[in-house]
Amino acid sequence: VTELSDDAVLAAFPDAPVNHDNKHYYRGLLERKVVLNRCQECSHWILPHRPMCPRCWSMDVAPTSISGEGTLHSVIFVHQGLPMNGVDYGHGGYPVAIVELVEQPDLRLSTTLVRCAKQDVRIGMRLRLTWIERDRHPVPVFEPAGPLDAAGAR
Amino acid sequence: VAIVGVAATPYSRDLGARTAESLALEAARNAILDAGLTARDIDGVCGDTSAVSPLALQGGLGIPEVTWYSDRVAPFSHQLMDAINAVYSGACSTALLAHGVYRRPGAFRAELDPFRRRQTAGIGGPHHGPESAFGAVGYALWASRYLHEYDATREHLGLVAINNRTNAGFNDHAVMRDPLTMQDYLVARMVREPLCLYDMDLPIDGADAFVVTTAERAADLRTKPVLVHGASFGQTWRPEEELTLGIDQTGQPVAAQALWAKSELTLADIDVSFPYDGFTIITLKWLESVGYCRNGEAGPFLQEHWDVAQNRVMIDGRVPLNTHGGSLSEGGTQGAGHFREATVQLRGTAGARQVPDCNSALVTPGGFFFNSSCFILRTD
Repeated sequence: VTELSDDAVLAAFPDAPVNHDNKHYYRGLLERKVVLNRCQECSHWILPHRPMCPRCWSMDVAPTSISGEGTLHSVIFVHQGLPMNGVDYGHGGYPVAIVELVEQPDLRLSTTLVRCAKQDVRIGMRLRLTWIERDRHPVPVFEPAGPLDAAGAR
Repeated sequence: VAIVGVAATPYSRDLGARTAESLALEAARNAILDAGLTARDIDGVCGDTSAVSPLALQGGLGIPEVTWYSDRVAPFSHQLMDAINAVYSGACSTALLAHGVYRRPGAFRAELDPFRRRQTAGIGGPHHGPESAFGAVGYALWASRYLHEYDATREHLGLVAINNRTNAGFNDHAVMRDPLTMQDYLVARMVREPLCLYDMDLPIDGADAFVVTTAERAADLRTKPVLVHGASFGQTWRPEEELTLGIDQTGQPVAAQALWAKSELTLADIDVSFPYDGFTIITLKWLESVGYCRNGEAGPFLQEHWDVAQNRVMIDGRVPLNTHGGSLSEGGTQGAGHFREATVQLRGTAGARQVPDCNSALVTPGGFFFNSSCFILRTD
């Protein structure tokens, strides 16, 4: 498998603040992977994308794919905002969600929810990574993992 | 160190063909006049990156020479802390601070003005899409988490909005002065659910300015000095909105603990309090963070201390909150309005809204993530 060149990554995200510490994240998006820097000394996952481990101060960090499993930490529904491609502020609002990843406590992504009716959304529900297309590249989003239980939670 | 001059332009939803710089210069000129000083008395200037640079402030007012200058991003407490440190260290003796707010793209009606569309989008970093938790979205997300963790209700948030609107009714400077009922609040349109229209501060055009000098010099000036008793900032190692460790683990408790560690005063000594209110959730958390109540209990605390006849909070029947109406009702100025009102209250010139025997004010501007700060201002 040939890795996408840096130039291809820069060209695919003309407005994004791509740099040498986060380029693997953006490259990963084009391959439908969420790739975060992970410390090779103490295994700590690092967000925001930085070149040093805040726990052990090692600079030996490697871009590593996450499992895609997580839980809903908090969620809002945005009812108005500037027009943006693919964003519908009607129909109960556009969900913006913080998802806590199973990899590590307090390791979280800000994202949106798909394939989940508003009335079924519960803080704490289990979620999994999936993808949508926007502005000609894949965008990581989350959907419910597993069936609803009797109480409506997942 | 003392605040000896204060002034503001009118606040408005639309001041028309005024630039941010023109508002800042007007307020700055009037703050110097308020202190009874001239341009030659000013030897330090502090601008804010969104309205007026220190260069424009000095050049615009013809201040011949300065030995200290600074240019800070909002909120205003960053500027005040800088000036306090500069005066205390001797980098300058008398500093001029100007802070402006100017409606930009994103504050929707401002979109209609093509000149404003060319303004940059404020203090945020590069925009990274509709799922960004930056700024207002982050506050709504943590409000959602607060309601979840503590079984708090929208009524708890609504009390903050109602309190500030009631107070704004006594402030001619406030933009929104019509009384607000809980019913009004509960049926208001959602913007970033669970936060509605009345949970968010009010985009306006306007500017405030202050003159800060040594306590020694202040004693010789025409205005009653307002002394800085203590000041602190607070920030955790996880200030990013989606990564903040918890609703009770923000910069707020860090700043509050730092303030109380250096002050011999306690909350019982405070006569008027200014918990920041860029969003109602911020006020609830400030009340908890500075120690008025425990985490998660700010809503019941407001209910317990609600003065029904006055339709506002009076803590222990004595201490009001945000007597000017705050950012929610006077207008959103990132804390500059709170400091102006604290100064006016401590001078004893607040007129119809004057707090009796007002000697100590607690001002806690800033939100959760990267700008929490605490100040106590005193008359002696």
